[in-house]
Amino acid sequence: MTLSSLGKIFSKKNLPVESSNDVNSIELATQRQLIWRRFKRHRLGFAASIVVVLFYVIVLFADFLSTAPPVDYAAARGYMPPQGIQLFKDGHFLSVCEVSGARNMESYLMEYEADCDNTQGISLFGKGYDYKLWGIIPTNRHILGMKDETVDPNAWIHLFGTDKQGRDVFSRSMHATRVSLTIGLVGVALSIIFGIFVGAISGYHGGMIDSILQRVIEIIRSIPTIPLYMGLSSAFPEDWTINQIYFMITVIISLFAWTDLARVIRGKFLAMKDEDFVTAARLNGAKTMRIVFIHMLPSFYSHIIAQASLSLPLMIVTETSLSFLGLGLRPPAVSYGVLLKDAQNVQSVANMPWLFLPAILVVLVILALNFMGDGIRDAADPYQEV
Amino acid sequence: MLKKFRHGLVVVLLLVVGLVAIACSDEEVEEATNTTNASAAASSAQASGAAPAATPAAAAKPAAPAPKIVETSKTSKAATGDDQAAGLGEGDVSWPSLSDTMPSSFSESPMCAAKAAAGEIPALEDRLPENPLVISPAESIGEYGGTWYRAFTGPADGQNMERPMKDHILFFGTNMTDVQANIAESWTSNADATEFTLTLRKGLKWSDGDDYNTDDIMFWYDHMVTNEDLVPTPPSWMKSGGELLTFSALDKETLQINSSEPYGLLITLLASVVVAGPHTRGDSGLGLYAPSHYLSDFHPDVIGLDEANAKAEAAGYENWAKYMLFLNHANANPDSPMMTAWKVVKPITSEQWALERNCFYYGVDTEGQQLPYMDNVVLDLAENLEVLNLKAIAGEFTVQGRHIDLSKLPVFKENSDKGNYRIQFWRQPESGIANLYINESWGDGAHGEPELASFLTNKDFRAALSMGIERDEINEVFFLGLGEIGGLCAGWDDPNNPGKYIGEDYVQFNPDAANALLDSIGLDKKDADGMRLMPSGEKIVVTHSVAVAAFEDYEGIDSMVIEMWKKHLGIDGKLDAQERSLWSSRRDNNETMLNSWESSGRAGAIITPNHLGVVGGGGFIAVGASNAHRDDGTMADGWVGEWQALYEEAKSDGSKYAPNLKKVVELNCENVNPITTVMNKPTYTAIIKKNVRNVPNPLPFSYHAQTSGNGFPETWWLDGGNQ
Repeated sequence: MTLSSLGKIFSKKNLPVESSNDVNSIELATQRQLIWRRFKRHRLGFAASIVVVLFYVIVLFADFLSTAPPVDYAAARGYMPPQGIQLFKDGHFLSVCEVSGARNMESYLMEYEADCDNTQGISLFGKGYDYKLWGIIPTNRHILGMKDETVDPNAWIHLFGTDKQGRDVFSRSMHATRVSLTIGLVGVALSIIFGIFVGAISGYHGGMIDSILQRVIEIIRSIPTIPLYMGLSSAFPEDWTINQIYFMITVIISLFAWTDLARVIRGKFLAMKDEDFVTAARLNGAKTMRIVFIHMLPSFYSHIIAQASLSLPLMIVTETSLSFLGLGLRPPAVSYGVLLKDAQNVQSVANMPWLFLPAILVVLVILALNFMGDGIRDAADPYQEV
Repeated sequence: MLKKFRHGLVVVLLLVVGLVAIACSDEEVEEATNTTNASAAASSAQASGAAPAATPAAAAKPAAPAPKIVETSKTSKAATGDDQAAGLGEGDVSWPSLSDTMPSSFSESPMCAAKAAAGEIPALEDRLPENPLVISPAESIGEYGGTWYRAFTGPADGQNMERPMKDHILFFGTNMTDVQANIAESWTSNADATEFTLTLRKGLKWSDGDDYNTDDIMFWYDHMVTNEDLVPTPPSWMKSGGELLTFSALDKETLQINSSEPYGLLITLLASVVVAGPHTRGDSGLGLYAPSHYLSDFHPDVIGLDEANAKAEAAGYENWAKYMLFLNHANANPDSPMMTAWKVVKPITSEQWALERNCFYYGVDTEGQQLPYMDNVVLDLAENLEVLNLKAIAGEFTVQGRHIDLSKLPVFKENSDKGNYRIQFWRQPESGIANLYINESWGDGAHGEPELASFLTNKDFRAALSMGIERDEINEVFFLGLGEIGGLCAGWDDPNNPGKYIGEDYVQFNPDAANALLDSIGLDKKDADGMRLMPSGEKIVVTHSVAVAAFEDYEGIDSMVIEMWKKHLGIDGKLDAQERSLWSSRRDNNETMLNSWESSGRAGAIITPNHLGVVGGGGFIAVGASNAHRDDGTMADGWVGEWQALYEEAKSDGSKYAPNLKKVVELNCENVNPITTVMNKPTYTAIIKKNVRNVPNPLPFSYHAQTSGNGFPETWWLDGGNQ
């Protein structure tokens, strides 16, 4: 605290200091407040972070946002195009037209006809299929539900259309978001732990240990990842459940993603270990662990967060591509990769373009995370103009 | 920003490369498997007497007289009412047939005429045999010219052209039942089916102009199939009563084959892919005959071991045997003489596999025009099936059924005018598309659990599972409604239950009956989620093992079945999707509980028991019992044992073949194993240019008759040239 800031406090007529009053004062703001303020000014980054938050809301409430169970099949609804929701019709606030379909034996395509004289009302927070929120709270409330619970399944809501088996693409996308984004989060968390641990040892000790660890990292980074993933994922025992495979894929991805972070952190430690405050701590008899975690690490937290938010999209893309190649998650699990694998054929391009809607979600979340990471990094950079 | 996406872009690029590598079709592997089993089955049939030809049509109507395969020299066959009843044809049937009338004069294509005029090849009369094979085309006498454009998926896709070019010594008619003349003009056998005489056409020529006669068969018999360096173990069809068949040449045109035991099935096998010719089997030293004039220059029996090995080493091969197998592999070695309508000019190992007409081909049409009509066959390499199908949609192929994806049918339909093609379905009678085979030996395997295994062996359990499947849904979703709902025994009246066939009730969706059955066999307890528990209190979980990237989307079909069983029966399920070779090795080791796979036409149940049978090792229904049967002939208990006994009986007594064929399939139906889902979808969705004439309609499909070979592609022609 500088003298001038002290003077400011006292000039406020000795009123008790409230933190809210200090928000506007750059001199008094903590580093966190400074970063937040700067981040808010980074418009793109800030907007992107709202999108990211929305995506994680989907992660938390995937079942609530779904309109149909992700595995609920029906041949009679196969490849149904996206369906619009009507406002204020037939006394309903929201409603859908009844849809009936049959296969045209000339073209062999399913053809659907919307009968808008017969509409089905939809209620917000209506009732739908049973599920357990976060695996604990049993409920059947969904954001959209049919007013008439005994309704004809042909009038179901398919915002993104349906796939080959007549499963609702929107609901599947919601569940895929949950799976793909948590894989990213867990993967990043694991790689941060690995990265900090190895980076700290390497940078703080230096010398022989540093050389060995850096060579190990180089070796790991030199291995082409796709063949490696292929090998590792085929090594899964066949009696594993989807959940186990899901977890292992996260671990595998993070096992190779930590090297980046470890390098960066090592650099930071190398640069900082001879700083005065570190020397002071050491002379005061602080133990290595204390010096590393209490004195040094907090000074570049912001950097780690920025780095993590930038490696998150890579994690998601990796999972998506692994599943797309058939090496990652498999049906009945749903992830972005699994959904896109279904769309990977000529007939989808020609006749069922809505199967590519999950790809838009992928692009959206990857872009948002990248912009957000960019924003955080800029905001956390102490050398940038405030 | 772009910098950050670099990783993403690299991943996407790698992904594309990876896809190309992965998406190669492995259809050939399947066929190879079939072959092994077919030859195994052939050996089993060796002891049978004058067994009738086992073919789909015969099995579809077991009461009909067995097709005559003895003392027929040239059978001429159009589709009959019986064939139509057997599902082989409806509406206007147009099939090619062999003709007994020799044309008064012969003519040749401009391509061959030019070569003859230039002195490269002899005149037509010196190239045709005295007695050519006269084929009456399905619709019309054709005009010469044009190229047959196709695509193949790589060096392992040899069947792509082996099928249409059939160089078998005898071959089938279009109905896949009647054995007809081909390279041999006639054959006879003695009453007890131990001595067979084949008469070759006189004056046959290899594609390089050299004479073809019994020397080529005897060379193969004396120096190839019996040479252990070349063929470590002779194929099982060569053995009868534990001894090798004896071949002897009576003269240049007459071959005699002797068997120590009755071997009624031999003629059928000679016509089928089990024996085939060197184009199909030459790369493993098999195929009944070989170009002796060409190969003897490299064979140690002729030039001595040292020189043979020296030649092989000079050509970059480890030893003479490996070199010889390459030399005899016509698809890869364009120098290898062939007997087929077209001969290879660019090998299958190149980007473009190309063939041109064989001016020495022995077939003519009824007006004496030498066949084939089309000059060239050009196949483009398409390692990725999506790419291949895109080419088909764009109308780049003249005729192609192989590798065409049925689920793209709407796109094919939509573009048929733009691509100027028509679509034809080639079906395989009474074949299952995605059967669920319950491995009743699972309990004895590495992952077996006694309590769960006791349900797998319980017929009521299987019947309940079967009645919990909504087959219409599967048919609509995966096969565009083009399959049929029915059992393996459809069309066979059950004497105990007139008006119905055995197992008919089990292929109907009937959740009430299914649940009642499950309740009655000790699965009446349920957990909180409504899933059934075994008496011990543990949840019953059925694991479906499927191969990924196989013929059908088994992964999709089985995950749908799992949902059906959860929803309607309260039986929990798990999907175990594996890469195909891993899946089949685990299956053969008796480690899998339920496997999803096709079954070829029910008529093959004894000839190729690898799908419906429980004999000869591996298989699906009771892998452990099947392995024990292979290893020391142990007979299992229960219906599996009955199946094995009926099979053994058919093997030793030819007169039991037809009745037992029906009995074993009925055992499958009665015991609900396999659980069939959808039957008889079109095996090939053939994309045919609108101006291609003489493609049989309908063309019944089979592996043993090498469809499209049974459609006589040498008679197909382009009305107005390539368009």
